[in-house]
Amino acid sequence: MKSFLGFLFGLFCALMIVFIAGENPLTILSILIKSSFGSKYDFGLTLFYMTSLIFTGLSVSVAFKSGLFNIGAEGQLNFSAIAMVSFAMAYPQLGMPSSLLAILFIGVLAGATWGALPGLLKAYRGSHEVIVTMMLNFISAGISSYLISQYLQNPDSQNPESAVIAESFRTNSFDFLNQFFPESPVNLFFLVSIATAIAIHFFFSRSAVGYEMIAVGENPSAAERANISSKKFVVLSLTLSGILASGAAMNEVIGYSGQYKIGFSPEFGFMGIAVALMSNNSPLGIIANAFIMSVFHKGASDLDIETETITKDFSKVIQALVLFGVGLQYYINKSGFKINFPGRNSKKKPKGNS
Amino acid sequence: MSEIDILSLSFILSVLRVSTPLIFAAQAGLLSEKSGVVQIALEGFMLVGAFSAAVFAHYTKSSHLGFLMAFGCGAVFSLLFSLLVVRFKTDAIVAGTGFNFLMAGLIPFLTKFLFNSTGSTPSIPVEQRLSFEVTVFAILVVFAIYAMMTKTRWGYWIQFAGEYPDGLTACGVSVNKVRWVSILLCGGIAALGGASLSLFLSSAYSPLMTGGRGFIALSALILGKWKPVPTLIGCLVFGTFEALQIRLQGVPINGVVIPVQWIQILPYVLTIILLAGFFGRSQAPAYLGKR
Amino acid sequence: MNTNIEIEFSNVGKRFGSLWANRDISFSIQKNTIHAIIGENGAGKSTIMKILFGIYPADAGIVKVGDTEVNFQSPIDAMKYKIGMVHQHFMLSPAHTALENVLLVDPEQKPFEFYFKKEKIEKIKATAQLYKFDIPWDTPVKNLGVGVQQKIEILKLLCLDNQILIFDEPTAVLTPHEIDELLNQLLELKKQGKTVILITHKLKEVKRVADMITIFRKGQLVGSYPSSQLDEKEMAAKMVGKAVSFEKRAFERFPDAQTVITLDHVQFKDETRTFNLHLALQRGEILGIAGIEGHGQEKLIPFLLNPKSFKYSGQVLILGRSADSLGNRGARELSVGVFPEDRLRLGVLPELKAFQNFVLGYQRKSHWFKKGFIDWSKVKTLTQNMFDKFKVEPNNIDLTFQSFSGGNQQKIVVARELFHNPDIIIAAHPTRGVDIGAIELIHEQLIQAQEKGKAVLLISSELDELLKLSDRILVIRNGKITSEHGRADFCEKAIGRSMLGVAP
Repeated sequence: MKSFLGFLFGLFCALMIVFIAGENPLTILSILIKSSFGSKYDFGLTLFYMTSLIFTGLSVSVAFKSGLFNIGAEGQLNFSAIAMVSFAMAYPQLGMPSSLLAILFIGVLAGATWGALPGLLKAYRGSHEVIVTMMLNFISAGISSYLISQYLQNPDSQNPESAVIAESFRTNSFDFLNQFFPESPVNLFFLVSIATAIAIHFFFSRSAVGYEMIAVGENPSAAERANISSKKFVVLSLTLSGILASGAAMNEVIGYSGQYKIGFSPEFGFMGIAVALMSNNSPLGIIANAFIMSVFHKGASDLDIETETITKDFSKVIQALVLFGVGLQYYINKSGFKINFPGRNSKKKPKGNS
Repeated sequence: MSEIDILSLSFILSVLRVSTPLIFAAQAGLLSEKSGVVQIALEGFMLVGAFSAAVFAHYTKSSHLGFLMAFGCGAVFSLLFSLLVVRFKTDAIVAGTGFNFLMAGLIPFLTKFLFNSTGSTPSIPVEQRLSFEVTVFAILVVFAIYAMMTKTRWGYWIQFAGEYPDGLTACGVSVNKVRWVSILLCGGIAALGGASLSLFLSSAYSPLMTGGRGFIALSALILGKWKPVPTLIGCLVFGTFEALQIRLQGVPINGVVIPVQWIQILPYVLTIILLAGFFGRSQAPAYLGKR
Repeated sequence: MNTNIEIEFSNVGKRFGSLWANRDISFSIQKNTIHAIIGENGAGKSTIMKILFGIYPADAGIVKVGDTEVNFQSPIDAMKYKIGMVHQHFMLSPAHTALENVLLVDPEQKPFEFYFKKEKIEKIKATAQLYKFDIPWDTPVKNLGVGVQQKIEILKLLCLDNQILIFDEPTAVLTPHEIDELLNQLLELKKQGKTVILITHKLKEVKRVADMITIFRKGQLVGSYPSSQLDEKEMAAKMVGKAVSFEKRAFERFPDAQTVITLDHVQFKDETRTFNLHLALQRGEILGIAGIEGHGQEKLIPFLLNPKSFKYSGQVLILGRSADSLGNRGARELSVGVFPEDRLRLGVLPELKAFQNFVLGYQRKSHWFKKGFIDWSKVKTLTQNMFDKFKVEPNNIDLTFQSFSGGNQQKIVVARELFHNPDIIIAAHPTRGVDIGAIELIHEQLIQAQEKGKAVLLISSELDELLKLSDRILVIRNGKITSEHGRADFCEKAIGRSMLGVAP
């Protein structure tokens, strides 16, 4: 929770901007809260965003753990979504249990591919993962746009989106969670995301593979000496990262809409970066921070309607300021002034004195 | 029209046109990265430039003044980036990502505030649009940066800040000062790239009009191995792709229409292939991104 | 008022957290002398110089340069007072040429100026000639030897017309020949009117060049003495705080020794050179490997740990197994413990906690590993036991590794590697950057291991350490074993000559 102060700082700055623009910060806060919790529908929508943010937050944090910056969760979830929709369109006749398993497999595989690619290039060709994942974001957007416009376009719609896939590929028919939130998009994958976060928590805190992955992130040369192949783990962690990002695609395609809409993700992949940093890469912290972020995201869309000056993009400003705040928080923790947490970091000694 | 003469003057001019924003942005990135600061906020700086240029051109009725003001605004916003990265040692990738977010969020807010529009600024009259003087200026900037980096003391300070900052400190030069100034120039010049988008390639600011050009510029920089002139060539290559894409839209070649998306993703695929080292390893500044 | 005083410290103190690295330091340095500052690792000798050079601000006391009281916040402030420092790690950009590196210094530092001004280059070359420096100007620094790099460093300070020159452990990286050259240059600098401050722990050098000696121990000043008043033994005693024996340990050899490592005419290559190695390590012996820094002795470690990752010819046997029969994990599958040559870079995860470091490299050992999971509570118990046994300070396994001092860090590494009771111990620079108490403990551990019939391969750049511990010493020069010396006929000079490649 060290980075929580950073978050508060970011929020404070955002509200100051709002204030300067002539809005009452308290009104803004109340709109935010009403918009996120005001009705079952609203709350369901908040949880729906939260699901995707947990997945992308985990995706980014797993890469961070092994010292990599996955800026490509967006492309990974995008590619996974288009792959799932294309598959379901290609084999519409598949029956229930196998259809669902197959589409899940395709989704995971697509995410894994989009993660493994930068991993392999990083490990074996030394290409910087930030650039490669960024490029892959653009490429997957291009591929989706191509597939939609050429093959998958929904004939009943003016918008660039695919037709709806068959019921057998979706979870709506047996979704008990959704029934509590009528009309709202929250679905079973909310529970999956929570379970995944807990699983990742145990993966890093208990398993040997998780330990080895952290070791590679902390010190690749020492890991190499300890017979932990950093190359292998670079590929593994980015692949896992891609798989986790694909969860956000499943939340949309399998759990909710059953179609690919261009722009269905309001940059969940990038919001995941903020979530991961706020949580200091702790999987359980990601659950909490994904919630906070989804409240802002949901709220910002209503601010657009209910205020004069604020647009729906305003959640980006909040995210940016939160990122800055979290960055500053790291600085304060490192340089060790102002805020000292009792019992921790009290005896840090600067390096290099002999 | 079924054939495209890619050697025609009009095509070459269109390559130069669309390359101009990239040339500014890539040289801006070069200044920052050479001084050891990873620069993925080029996109954000370009947005600042595109927006502020359009706004000032609208209010002052002078595109040239708008262009100049873009430099100023980019430089001013770079102070925020420097404050975080240089002063408070925030990770430059984190701060850069945040900066891009901030600009993507703040500008719609400002357009609503100033013009009550959904993200665009009012257009300037077509006759006020800038022309190829911008491209000429961009190329002059490249050679100015080349001369500065390889001939002047300041250029060497930037190089040492990126290669061995402790060595620079040991000579009594403040690394932070060098980085502050480099990033200041970077912000200003990248903003000129944005300004050429809104005043030269079009006549207003439209939402997210940079469309990833900041990242293309970064790729050009990497492919140009952090050297001014090769980076310029990289920009022209990417510019050629973009111009081709505009030309080839819906035009059949030997009876086949190349989908526009394929040409759109071509530069990105190319970057990955080149990055993978099939084009020789890139020599990044040794201390890039390290602290 | 003594006008000859160049620098004066009065009650200077520096604190890191709750620990005083320097306390109540008061002494002065005379103009135009060579002033040596000596002390063990961690005695605070570097800290006081870093205060003088503005790297750390002082927490207490007064520093005077000439007659002015100063409080430097950065090296830039110190430079204004004509103070320069040759750092242990050279402040040179490897990608730039020697000339470009020297040109970087300039008393005026005008930013908008042609970098390669003719008169400046001429002045630099003239200065180099004055001090008899022979520098290949247009070669990138990364292609130059450390000796030349050091000359470039010194030249940089001279070009700034510095009056006070601080040398931080300048001889640590040099060959004996280069040391000789450097010491002569220091005398030359004094002749030209400079004040030289020499931080070192090598007493012979001090004796040879210093006019005054200031001794530090555990952050405190022991005293300042004219160098004529002390001999080496007295200096050592004052550094350590008790009389130091220069005796060598009793030599005992196990008669029916079994060979645990055989390198039979092994040849392999890395980026820089070809290696030719032929050696045998036996149970119950400590085999020392000597050599000038950078002559490839450290490459032995990755090679022995995983020969298969190199393309080699010849035969490698480790604990009776041919290297080819080893799996992907190489020799780590066998009972081999390693004290890595660069602890922080190769041995640990500095930002993780001590107990998390305790399993690194052994994370899949059955002591704590079961079905893919690590039992951390068990690890904690075992780590605590080892902390108690090795007297690690502070005795807290939840602290991050990097928050321990050098000596305690090395203790943790040693504890980890010895925990599994390895048959072979590869110890590289086991006491580098380690304080005196820990040095003794580590040496004891190595000797105990030998007595238990383990085999120890000791790679060290401290000849004294090798002479003290080894049964045999092999000298490696340029990747080749050039000579072998048995304990009975250890001769420091002969080994030194062999390291240099000079015919005996």
